[in-house]
Amino acid sequence: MESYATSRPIERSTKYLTFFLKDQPYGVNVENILQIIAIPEITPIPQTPPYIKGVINRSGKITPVMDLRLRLGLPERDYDDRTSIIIVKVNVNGTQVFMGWIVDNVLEVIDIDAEHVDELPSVGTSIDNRYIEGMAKIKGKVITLLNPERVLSKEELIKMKNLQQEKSHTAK
Amino acid sequence: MKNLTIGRKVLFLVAGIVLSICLILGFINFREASSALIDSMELTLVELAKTASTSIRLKLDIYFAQIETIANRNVLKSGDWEQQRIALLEQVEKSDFKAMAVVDRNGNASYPDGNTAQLGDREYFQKALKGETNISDAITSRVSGEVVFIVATPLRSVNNQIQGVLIGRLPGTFLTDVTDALAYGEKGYAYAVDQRGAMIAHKNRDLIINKVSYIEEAKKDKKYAELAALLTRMTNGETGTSNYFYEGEVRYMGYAPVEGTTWSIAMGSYESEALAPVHSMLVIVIISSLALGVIFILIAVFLSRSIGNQIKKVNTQIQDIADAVLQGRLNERADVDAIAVDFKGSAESINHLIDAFVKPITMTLEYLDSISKGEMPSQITETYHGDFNKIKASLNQLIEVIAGLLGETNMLIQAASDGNLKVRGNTAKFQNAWQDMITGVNSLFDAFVRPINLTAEYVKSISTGEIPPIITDTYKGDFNEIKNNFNQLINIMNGLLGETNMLIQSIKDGKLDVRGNDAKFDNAWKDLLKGINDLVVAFVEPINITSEYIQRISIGDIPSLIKSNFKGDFNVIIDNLNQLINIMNGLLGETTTLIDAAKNGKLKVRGKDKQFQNSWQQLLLGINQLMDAIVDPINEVMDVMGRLARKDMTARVRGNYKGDLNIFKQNVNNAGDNLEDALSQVERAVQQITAAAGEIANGSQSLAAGSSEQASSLEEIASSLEEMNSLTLNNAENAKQGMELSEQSLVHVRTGNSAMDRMNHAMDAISKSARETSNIIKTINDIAFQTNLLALNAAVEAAHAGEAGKGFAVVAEEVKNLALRSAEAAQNTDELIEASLKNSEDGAKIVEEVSASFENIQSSFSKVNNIVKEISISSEEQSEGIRQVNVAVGELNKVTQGNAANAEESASAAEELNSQASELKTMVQEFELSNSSGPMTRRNNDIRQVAPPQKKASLPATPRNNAGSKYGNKDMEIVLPMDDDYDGDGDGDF
Repeated sequence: MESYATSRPIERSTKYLTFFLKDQPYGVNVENILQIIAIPEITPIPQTPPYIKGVINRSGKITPVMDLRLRLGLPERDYDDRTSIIIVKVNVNGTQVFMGWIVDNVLEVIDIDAEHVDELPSVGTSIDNRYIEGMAKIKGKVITLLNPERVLSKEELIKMKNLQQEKSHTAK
Repeated sequence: MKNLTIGRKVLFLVAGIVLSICLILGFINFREASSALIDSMELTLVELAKTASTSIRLKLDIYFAQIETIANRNVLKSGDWEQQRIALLEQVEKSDFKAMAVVDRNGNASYPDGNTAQLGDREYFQKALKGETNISDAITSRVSGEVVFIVATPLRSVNNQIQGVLIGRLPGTFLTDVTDALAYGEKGYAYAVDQRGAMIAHKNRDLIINKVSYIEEAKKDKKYAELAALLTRMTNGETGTSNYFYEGEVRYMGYAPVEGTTWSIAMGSYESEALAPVHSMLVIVIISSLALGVIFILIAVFLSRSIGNQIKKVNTQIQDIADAVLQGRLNERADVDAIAVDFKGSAESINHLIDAFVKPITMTLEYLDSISKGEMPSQITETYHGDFNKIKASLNQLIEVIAGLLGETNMLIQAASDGNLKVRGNTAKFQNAWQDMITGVNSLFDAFVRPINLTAEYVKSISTGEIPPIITDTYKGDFNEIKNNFNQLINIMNGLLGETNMLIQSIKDGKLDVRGNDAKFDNAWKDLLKGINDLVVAFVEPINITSEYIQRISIGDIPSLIKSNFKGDFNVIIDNLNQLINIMNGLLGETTTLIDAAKNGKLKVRGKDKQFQNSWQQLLLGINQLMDAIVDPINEVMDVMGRLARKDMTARVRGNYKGDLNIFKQNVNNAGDNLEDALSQVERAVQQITAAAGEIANGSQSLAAGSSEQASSLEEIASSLEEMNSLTLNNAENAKQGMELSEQSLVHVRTGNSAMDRMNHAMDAISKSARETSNIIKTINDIAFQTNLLALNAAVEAAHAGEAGKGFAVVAEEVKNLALRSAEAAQNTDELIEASLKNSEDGAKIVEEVSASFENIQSSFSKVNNIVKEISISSEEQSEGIRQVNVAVGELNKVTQGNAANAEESASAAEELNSQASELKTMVQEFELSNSSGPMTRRNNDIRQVAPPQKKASLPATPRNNAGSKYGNKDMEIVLPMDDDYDGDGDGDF
């Protein structure tokens, strides 16, 4: 698995996994994606932010999961048979942290040319926009491209990492 | 103890109490503090044991996670030993495991340093092969003698198959680190045992290396029994505390099991250590008790000495007073002021005691002195108590006796000078010598008084004519002469009285010829007796003559008149006798005349009473009244009987008579009453008979009229009955047809209903299978989703692979599309099925409604059928009823005819009765009764009024009779056509 990530060729177009949140399409670079799974049993962890739903046992690996809707300030909703978890990996201080994003529905893997991607409009640039990589226009639709390393702050990511470790120690 | 002074007693008592209280309080304190300390120690020990167990559990969790993480590494999953060896060497460096090895499925272990071992039979290996990460029991290394533990986890291949086991060796110190770190007080320690009770952590490492189990040891050596019991509880996984005696000390243990293992941790401590603070407290208590005791004893010694001195002073004073009293110095007293306040009371009491003795003694002396001098003192009135009061009482008694003696003597002297010789001194008031003195004075009085009293008494008797007996008492001297003179006088008086009494007695007895003997007396006494004899003779002669004449009159022999001469009053007697003889003769004549007249029925003749006077006149008047009393009622009865004979029933005897004459009057009157009553009853009976006859006649008439109406109604009834019967039969036929029709309809309805039922079942089945299909579609949907996910994952993998994964990406895309399509198809199917489910539910609802209305129709038909059936049955019953009514009408007709005939007969009988009643009336009318003849006339009128209806009643009799026979014939014509089951016996049976 890790070998795939290192041998990516440099191209003009990049592959993105698209998914829906509140009927809006979002995209994330496949490089940051480890796996997509159906929603399993989630073990809640007390004293964590509300968007952290708990941890899941991913064939023995303890992975924290978060509700992306909640993290992005969208209204929460009940999970259904389309709800999926995208296992995302990010680098924190040289080590990799895995976490699950709970999304409404996973769509497809598509190629997006760099020329179709715009920077975020300067209007309303605020600290909240830091996790947006860009906006892609495909077939008349606008896809919000997320930067997974910025969806959580550094401190939050370290906490996430700790959670991952603690959980794997105590789980048996 | 008895010989001790009060001071000493107080001393010992105070010291004893103070010491006891101090010691008891100290001991209680000690006990309470001990138990509180032990309790808190036990709690702490358990908590420490629990903490240790949690800490060990956490450590184990960390080790398990570590080894699982290593086993999950791809290098290890690869199965390539060279790669695995390098990875393991690296991990041993980084982790807590001192050595690691890969064990294949057959139990062959390979260590990175080239060593191998066969571990196939180890329990931890077996468990790991089954997929469980676990830790072994303590193992003593044969080489180093150290204790180690093995952690084992399954080692999976890339395709997740268990290809072997990864093991890691942990040094025993991971347990002893925990137990050594735990401490309680100075000597408390912790240890751990496994499921057999063997030591796996202990400060004494030899116990671990040798795997000492005190449960086993206890079987050989009894001194470990308590410890073994504790260990058994630990191996059973219990949490708690316990204590036991071991190596000369009591130890306390708290224990708790390690979760997820068979191990248990114990935390121990020594009782001596826990109670050390209490022991020092005990010493302090004892020392302070002793100090307090000494202080109290010193205080007690001082107090007892000062009390002793005071008591000595009091004793000296008392001794002095006692000596003074013994020497007769009664005025001496104790000096109260010289004595301490506490003892002043007792000194004063002693003074009072002496006062109490001295006062009565001086008083007695004074009194005795004045009595001896002849002065009579007054009674002592002061109050004394007890024995002193006895002295006072005795003195008072002496004063009283002497005063009494003086009084008695004075009284006797006064009585004698007043001539009252009966008074004597009262001896009862005195006793002993004083009594003897008074008795002597009384005897002196008696010697003078007796002869004086006797003389006075005799003179008094003779003067009242009562001659006393001769005096026989003996007197001396001059007293004797007086006695003899008295006796002579008494003898003369007795002789005179004897003669006089004899004369009087003789005259009383009728002996008129006896006389008194005067020769026995002298002088004046003799003349007195002669005079008495002459007086007797003058009375006797006229008495004898009177006696003879009265005797003759009394026997009915009326003598002729007396002609002898007497003087004075005696001559008056003879004249009276002659007059009596004349009256007797006159009375006899009148009586004889009356008797002769009565014998001849001349009831009006009476005696001539005017010829006699006084009682004799009354006697004759009485005889006349007797005659009247008998004759009056006889005359009245004769008159009454005469009136009765003339039919005057009101005649009665009215006179007022007594006794038998009244009974006579009552009998005559009763006879009259009874006769009148009988006649009145006859009169009333006639009246009633007349009225009854009238009623009978009226009744007969209306009966006859009723019978006629009844007969005509019966005819009408019979004809309507015929009509009704034919209608009813028709009705029954119609009902039967209706019933058949409704039954047919019922069959149709039932068929329809069962068809609906079947349809309903079919709908249910459709609905059920639709639901099942829906479930299948859900599954398909699920699979499609999973497939989609797989395809997406494949696409992500392909993207990761870059150019090389392009072909794979196309396939993934295709799979994804397929999954989406199948999901879409499933969705469509699901919608279709939902629609059909809803349709079938609607259908089911309609079917239910139709079925319900079918049931309503069916039940209505059933009701109609039942009603028609009831109509049919009641029609038949009606027909039957009409038949019975017809027969009953026939019977009625017969009865009506009988009634008419009876009415006629009773009418003629009433007529006959009425004529007889009027005859009787005329007879009774002839008697005059006391309730007058007025009503008789009215009753006569009644009879006349009653008579006419009798004649009217007889008129309809003939037509009625005719009508009856006519209807009777008609009845037979009506009845015959219907009476199939008429049994013909005429009693109305069917």
